[in-house]
Amino acid sequence: MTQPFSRRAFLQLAGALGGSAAVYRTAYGLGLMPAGASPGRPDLAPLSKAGRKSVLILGAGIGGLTAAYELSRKGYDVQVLEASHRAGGRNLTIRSGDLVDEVGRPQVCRFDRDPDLYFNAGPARIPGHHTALLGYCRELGIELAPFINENRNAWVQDDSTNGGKPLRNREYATDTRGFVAELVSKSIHPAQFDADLSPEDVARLREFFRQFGELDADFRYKGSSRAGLATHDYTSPSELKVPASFKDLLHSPIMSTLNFGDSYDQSAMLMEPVGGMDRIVAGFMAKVGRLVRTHAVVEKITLKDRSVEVVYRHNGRTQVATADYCLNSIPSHLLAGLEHNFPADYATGLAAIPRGKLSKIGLQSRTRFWEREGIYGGISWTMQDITQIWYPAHGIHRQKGVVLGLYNFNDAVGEKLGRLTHEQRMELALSQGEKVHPDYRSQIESGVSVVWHRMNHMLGCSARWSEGLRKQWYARLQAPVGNHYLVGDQMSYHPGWQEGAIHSAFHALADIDQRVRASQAQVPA
Amino acid sequence: MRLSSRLAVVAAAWLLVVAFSAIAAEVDPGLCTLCHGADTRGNAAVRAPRLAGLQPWYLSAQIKAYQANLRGTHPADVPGNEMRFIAAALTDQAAVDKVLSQFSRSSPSMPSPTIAGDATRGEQLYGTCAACHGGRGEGNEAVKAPALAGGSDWYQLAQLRNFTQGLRGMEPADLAGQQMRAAASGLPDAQAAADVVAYISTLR
Ligand SMILES: Cc1cc2nc3c(=O)[nH]c(=O)nc-3n(C[C@H](O)[C@H](O)[C@H](O)COP(=O)(O)OP(=O)(O)OC[C@H]3O[C@@H](n4cnc5c(N)ncnc54)[C@H](O)[C@@H]3O)c2cc1C
Ligand code: HEC
Ligand code: HEC
Repeated sequence: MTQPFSRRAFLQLAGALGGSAAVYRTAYGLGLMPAGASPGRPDLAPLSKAGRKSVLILGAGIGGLTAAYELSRKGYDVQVLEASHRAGGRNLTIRSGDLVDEVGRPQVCRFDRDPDLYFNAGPARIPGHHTALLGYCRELGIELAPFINENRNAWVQDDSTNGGKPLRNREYATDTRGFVAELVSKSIHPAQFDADLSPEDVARLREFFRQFGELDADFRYKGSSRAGLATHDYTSPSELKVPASFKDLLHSPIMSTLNFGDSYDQSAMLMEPVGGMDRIVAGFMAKVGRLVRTHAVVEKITLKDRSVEVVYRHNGRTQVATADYCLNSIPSHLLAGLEHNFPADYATGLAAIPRGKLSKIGLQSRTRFWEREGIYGGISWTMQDITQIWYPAHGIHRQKGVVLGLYNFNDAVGEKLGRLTHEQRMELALSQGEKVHPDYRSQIESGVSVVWHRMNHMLGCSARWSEGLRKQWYARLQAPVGNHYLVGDQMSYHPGWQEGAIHSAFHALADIDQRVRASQAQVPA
Repeated sequence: MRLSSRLAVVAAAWLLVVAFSAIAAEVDPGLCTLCHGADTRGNAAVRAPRLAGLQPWYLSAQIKAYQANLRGTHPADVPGNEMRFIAAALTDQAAVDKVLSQFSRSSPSMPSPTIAGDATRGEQLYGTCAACHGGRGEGNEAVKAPALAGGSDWYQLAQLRNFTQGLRGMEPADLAGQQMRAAASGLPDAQAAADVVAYISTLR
């Protein structure tokens, strides 16, 4: 490593730390803020009674509901067919008495009936830059609260670190930063930079790392109060914790979690609806619920010259619906098994896109024991299958709460969970959670497991687009075939986020709008 | 919440439970077509094979094999495990046989081939298979060998792999599976398996 920084890059950084911070921040802010409140939301031409068009929407997830809302506002005749007993798709909040519709293994949630005892089994976070979704929250009157992703008081745990005992997140993070800062400041030499980097510049750089790691005057990391204190009673002198050994930290797989909260979609500020993510579904349903038919399982899709015909089963009876356009958000891997007359290559593409296998387990706790550990919201990490424990940031200091006792996004673990019964999954959650909170088992009263690739009408999470698959299929599947459009977060560059589902609907709606405008321009008024 | 609405919620939850335990009494064909596709034409995207056109006695025997943990138990057999869990939830055999005979009679359009293999070479290899599965792949109940003609080729190839790799036909109590496992081990390599499946997909 001879030239870690160029002089220019360094001066820019130093400038940002010093007097020109305000300028820097402004520029940053300018780059971040999009011009419109909600880019891409199409301004559909309103239809007169005489020029009405009909649209069938398949699937009442966030993508389908967005389309239904936008179209019905502008005079389109809309019907939404949804296979499940409920609207919302992957946007799912679970409360007392709710059915968890896992194929072959349904569960009913046994939480106490209480407005604070719920968990979001699907989406839980809304990044502050997901402007289209936040725009709908504003428009539909959905109350939001900050979502806590990172909590320095929460735990990190791995069997190979600290004898398997959990460490506070702040302890692991601070020690790691301290050692990295010490290492870097020791190895900075003027000779490593362009010739004209002055000794003062190098001194400033070392000072930056001293602050970064809270090093002592000799640039050594001897522990820091950022890690929490060994003893502290607020009235007598406190004592620093003894830092872990750098080698242990380095060898610990916990290292991999440290930057999780820095990604664009995971960093502050995030939001969540008060009362559960499905308040968004309820908000849409208040507007378009009369257009949504649940228990309507689509079986056959036929492209016609100027329309689309859909055969579906509703409460055991076969029904037929026809419309000028069809917006289809049925997960592509399930759509591939339906009867249809799609072009052969289009059908091949539908079957080619694999799905993620995420899972969550919600656990009702007798007391909010984590709050007695100084944890208010946020996430503990463990390198076991359960991966994370989330603490509710709502209902603080009430008697009970629902923690998320597992959030897995590793496909192999997902498959393993799929093979377990609900009771076995509960045992797994308890035995692994016990390593983070010793008293865990005695606290947990009941639980619900949601293994998404086993859920009815879903059998998976977001589309797993590889670069190769994108190249081969994305444009083909995004373009309409006849008057049929494939939508949903699967048809976005942001699968796994509701914002992607909304934008896929915007994309299709803009195209339909253009076609409708063109056809109406030909008809004399 | 008022008492009446609370009662309504409890009643609704109860109805859901009743509706779902009804899987046992009446098998909703929609439960099967979710994975096996419309008219059980098969859906490679979720690795669920075509059931349409297979003999009811064979389909029924497979459900029983899954239920008895004779099939779909190996951790590496992900699709097999998935089907085993579904089978475990089916407790009323008469109701199961009813949907199975419905599937057996349905005839959705034939699947198009997905396996690249040499059908001419496959035809020669098929000679040994014909003894049990019949010259036109029509199956033979007497030796419990199912029809192969018109089946999902990607699935048949996967099953040949399962038999040779010990993911199916390993249990002593699974006599039919063991027979087929022995037959599968007669195929010299993966290419031979692809060739014979390519030939099977020409059979009608
Ligand atoms: C565990 C998890 C965590 C997530 N976290 C976040 C998060 O923090 N923030 C965020 O913004 N997003 C998150 N997401 C992603 C978010 O849930 C999705 O992007 C979004 O809900 C997708 O909406 P959709 O309308 O595209 O699809 P879906 O919600 O999947 O809707 C498809 C609909 O089609 C229906 N359907 C299926 N088959 C048929 C049929 N034959 N006939 C009729 N209807 C049918 C389904 O029942 C379903 O309602 C998460 C998802 C999961 C699973
Ligand atoms: C969650 C998806 C899923 C559902 C639901 C499902 N199956 Fe299956 N089924 C599969 C898969 C995957 C396989 C292939 C298993 C394997 O490779 O061993 C399969 C295999 C089978 C087989 C064996 C076929 C053969 O040729 O040996 C039968 C029979 C069967 N399923 C019947 C049913 C019936 C009846 C239902 C409805 C009650 C049903 N399945 C529901 C996924 C499913
Ligand atoms: C000795 C008789 C016998 C011979 C020879 C035989 N099979 Fe089979 N085969 C069976 C039986 C029995 C089954 C059903 C196994 C079960 O019930 O699990 C079967 C099952 C299969 C299956 C799985 C079908 C399904 O729907 O899951 C395939 C594929 C198959 N055989 C292909 C072949 C091929 C290819 C050959 C020739 C190389 C062959 N078989 C030779 C008896 C035989």
